[in-house]
Amino acid sequence: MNDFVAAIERHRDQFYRFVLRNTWNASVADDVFASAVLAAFENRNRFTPGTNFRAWMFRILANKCFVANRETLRDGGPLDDETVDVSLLETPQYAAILSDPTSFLEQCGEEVFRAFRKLSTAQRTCILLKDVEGFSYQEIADIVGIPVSTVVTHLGRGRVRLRKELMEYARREGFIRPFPSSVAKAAMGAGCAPGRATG
Amino acid sequence: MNQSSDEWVWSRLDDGSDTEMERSMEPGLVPGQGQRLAGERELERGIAQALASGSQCPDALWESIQQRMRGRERRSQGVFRRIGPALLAASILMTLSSGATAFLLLHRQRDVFFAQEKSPPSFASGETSAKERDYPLEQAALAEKQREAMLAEAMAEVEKARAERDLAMTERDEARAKLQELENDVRVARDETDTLRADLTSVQASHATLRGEVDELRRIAGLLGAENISAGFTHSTAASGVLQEAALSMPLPESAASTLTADEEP
Repeated sequence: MNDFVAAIERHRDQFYRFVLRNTWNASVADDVFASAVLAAFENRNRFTPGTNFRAWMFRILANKCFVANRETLRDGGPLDDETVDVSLLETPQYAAILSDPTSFLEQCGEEVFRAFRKLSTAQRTCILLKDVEGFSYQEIADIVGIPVSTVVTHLGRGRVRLRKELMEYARREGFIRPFPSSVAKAAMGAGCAPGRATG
Repeated sequence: MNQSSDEWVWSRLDDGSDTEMERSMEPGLVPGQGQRLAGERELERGIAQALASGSQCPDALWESIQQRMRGRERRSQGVFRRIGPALLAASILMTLSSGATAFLLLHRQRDVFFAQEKSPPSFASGETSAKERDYPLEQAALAEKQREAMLAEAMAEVEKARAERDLAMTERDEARAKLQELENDVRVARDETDTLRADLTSVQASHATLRGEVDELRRIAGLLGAENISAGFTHSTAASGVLQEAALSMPLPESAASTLTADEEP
């Protein structure tokens, strides 16, 4: 038992962070995290020593999050594989944001978390495992149990939707203003990314 | 290059997880695309840092989880601790009981074997009483006798029940025969009643005919004249009397006469 507790203890902040960002609020996150750790404790004999404990644990956490969010999604949460309109990301304002992303994110503040919660569970899971936890595509595919190509799709669409949500927030709050056409042309340069995702 | 593969390549470029072939595309991007790629990478890093920040596991939550884990560990150990001695005692008990059963069975088989192997007592030797070894055979014979006695008793019970059943069936048949006779009597009585009613009807018809004839004679007497009324009446009365005598002289059964009398009474 002590070895298991020590292994969890080493990564418990990472595990908790994953659950907190992947569920709707801290109360749900506490329940899901406790449930996942206890489930892992009950099934600790199934873990093969010498393999990746973090990946094994994240698999359990991801499953618990999917179950918890599936119950929440019945109440009108976001759906998977929805169509994403990327016209906002083709605007000069977006090009201006990319010139100084740090200050843009500082202005967004807590809105980043709210926008992130609007993504589907699969998109959130893939983004968290890739960008925050640093897993490779193949490891994410193994953890979530989907093909690598699907992982890449979830990542791409999740990111596009997250940027779009932040852009809309910025326009609502007024810290993005329309640029003069000459500046917009300069900002857009010779062209944007080739054929971005349109859902 | 189609749209989905573009999306795929761009995501991998964003992640820096691209293959050698995909990475070789990066220098080929136009300056605008290169700037955008760098900006998006920085934006993703910023978002990832924001998502990673301020989300430590609360110590209270971790303590409670540890306590629950320890509790489950204790419970599982407690279950083994409780079940272990009971299992040991049960296994010892089963071993002892099976050993004792095997010992008794072997002992009994040996006695039976010796009893069967021993020759019957010889009259010449004067050995007429059975020894202790013969006890199983005697017991078996006694049990056989008891079984035969019980069988005979049961057979007697069965015979008695059969006799009772036969007697009951005979009584039932007799009762049925009596019932049949009574039904026949009733049927005959009904036939006789019908015959009497028919006779009564014919007598009533004759009586009505005679009355009509008397009335006709009286009418004729009236037409013959007043002076002849008395004589006519006398003749008519005489004729009526003759007719009545004739009618009364007809044979009538006593039963019909009595029925007629009863019908005419108010």
